[in-house]
Amino acid sequence: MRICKLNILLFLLLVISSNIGAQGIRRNVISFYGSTSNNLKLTAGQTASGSHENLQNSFVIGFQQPLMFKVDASLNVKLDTILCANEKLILRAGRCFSYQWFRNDTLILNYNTDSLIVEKEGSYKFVGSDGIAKFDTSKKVKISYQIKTATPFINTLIKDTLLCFYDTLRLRATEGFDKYLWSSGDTTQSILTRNNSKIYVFGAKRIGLTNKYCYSDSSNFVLATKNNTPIPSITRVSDDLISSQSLQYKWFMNNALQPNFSNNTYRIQSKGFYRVETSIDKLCWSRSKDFIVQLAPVSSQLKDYSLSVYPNPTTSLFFLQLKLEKKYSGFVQITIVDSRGVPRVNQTQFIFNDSNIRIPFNIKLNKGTYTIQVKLNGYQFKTVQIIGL
Amino acid sequence: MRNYFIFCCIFFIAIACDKKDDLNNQENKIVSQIIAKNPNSVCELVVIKQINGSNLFNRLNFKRDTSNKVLSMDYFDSTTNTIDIKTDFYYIGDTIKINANSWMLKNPQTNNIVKYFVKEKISDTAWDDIVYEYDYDLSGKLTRKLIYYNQITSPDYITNYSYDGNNLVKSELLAGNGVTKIMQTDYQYDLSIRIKPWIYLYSDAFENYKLIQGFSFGKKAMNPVKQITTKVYDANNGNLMDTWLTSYKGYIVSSDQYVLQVTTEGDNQQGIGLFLGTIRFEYSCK
Repeated sequence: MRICKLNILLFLLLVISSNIGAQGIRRNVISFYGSTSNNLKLTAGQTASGSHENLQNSFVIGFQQPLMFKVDASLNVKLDTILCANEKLILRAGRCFSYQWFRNDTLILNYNTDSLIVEKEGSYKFVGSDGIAKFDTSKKVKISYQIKTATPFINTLIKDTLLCFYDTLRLRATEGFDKYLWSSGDTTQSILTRNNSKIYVFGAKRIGLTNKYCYSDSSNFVLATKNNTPIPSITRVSDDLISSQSLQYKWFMNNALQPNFSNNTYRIQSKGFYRVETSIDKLCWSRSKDFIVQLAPVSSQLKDYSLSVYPNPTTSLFFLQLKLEKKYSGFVQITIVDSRGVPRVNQTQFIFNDSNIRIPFNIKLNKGTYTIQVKLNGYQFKTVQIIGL
Repeated sequence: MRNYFIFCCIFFIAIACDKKDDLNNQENKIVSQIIAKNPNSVCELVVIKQINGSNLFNRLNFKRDTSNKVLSMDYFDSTTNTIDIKTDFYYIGDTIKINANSWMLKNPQTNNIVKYFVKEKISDTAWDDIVYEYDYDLSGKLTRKLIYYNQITSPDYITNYSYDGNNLVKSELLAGNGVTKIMQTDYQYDLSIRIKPWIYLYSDAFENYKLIQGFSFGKKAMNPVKQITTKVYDANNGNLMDTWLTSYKGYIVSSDQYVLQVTTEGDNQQGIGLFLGTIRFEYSCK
């Protein structure tokens, strides 16, 4: 009803204008009808001045058509249309004098142009009018949305990451997409880069059997950076590990960063495997091979240990037992001297990764007291005594 | 009557002496003792103890339930006269909790332990988190052990195990690169004697050589081991650092093929730690 009132009002406006000058009327009406522009915004809801401006512009095009109104209830999309998530669609109506748009059979208020921007799924149609008495309804168009395409990762990294490389860097996007688009323009699942660059990738899923693909958001980015720091090496000098020269140093023991060591020398604390990472720019770090320390110094602060022999007294077979607070590797040197200070035993044994060291002795001990000295990697433990029967 | 008494005394002394001789004899022997009263039952180790005459050096006990599942373990050390380990095991699904710092994971089908986690003290303030992964072949033999330190994803150490039948014949402990050799062990067996599953001989079981004998870590040898030779190498230059040569003699085996006693001579195989001197074994059959 509202459309009809407005149409009549516009019609009257045109009739009144005809009294002002025949040429002017012709221009206005011709331009309204003759324009092929999809952006024509003359609607029943607009003011006369707004309409006039559009008409004036159209006049320049110079169409010359008789005054008449038609109703074209066609739409520019298929009946079933699937959109990608966040995608917008402009529904364009055939030419009419006025338009009413409906979503799921509900009138969309304040929207009466010849096009409609669709951002939600639903069934859409419009009712077009010739401005006088003729109405026509378009077919319903069903608009649905594809589930948002998952975002791929590069090299399974979940955050933006700096990746240093020497010659080339292979980057792989998450598998399972129908198409890939890298910031470099490549469209394969993995790419090889040779230069410093900031790289990200989009993944796309195909919609059904159509040729349409829905792209994801951009992945995390990788800052591919050429590493100009030479690979360091480690040498051992006494109880120190020495790195080849660089500007920055990070030391690791058993894969754990050692925060108190940041120069080229590391004082060995314990058995284990060590590596150094060096950098000349604090950006890219080069990593040495692991250096395995099997012989570590025994801490001079070692307090928690026990050294004992069993059975004591004994005649021949006995065991020396050294229990330590943590596992050690290294050489245990045992010296057994009699009461006159004459060595009866002087032996060395390699201990591999043990905190409970048991060493058997099967020697004939004469009657008397013997003193046992034990050293582990040079560390001298308190002596113990054994009595021979 | 008096003569009869003297005769009896001499007889029992003779038996006692004969028994002592048995223990000290280095020849292998099959004795008439039967461990599995029911031939269909499965017997598992419950006691491993080192003795010398009347001296008990150490003793490892496993307490098992009616299905032979290990409920607890304790280890008595005569040298220090202490119980060094006393542990209950808690079974939660496939996980076996040992204590706050260690647990194991078993394969529910085979019962083989596939993972062992331990927090190991390296200083007053620092600990290493170490994960041991055990890989088995389709026949259930342990073929590989991978060791990961502090949440790293590539192994830091790898041990490969090789077999002849079910007999472990070689193990190689390598650095994480899979090339640098740290330790190699070779095994020889007495193929003339057949034994029931006895002990694990993994020479690199530094992480759990006491524990390992109570749980399932793959197949056990079908013949008694005669000799184990372990060579330890300097990982950084390949030089031989030490050789541990151990002979296993004086086997006493029950008539149903369970090993009751063995005597080791030579070096301590540190990764199998328990077996020094004369060792006796006791079983529980279910």
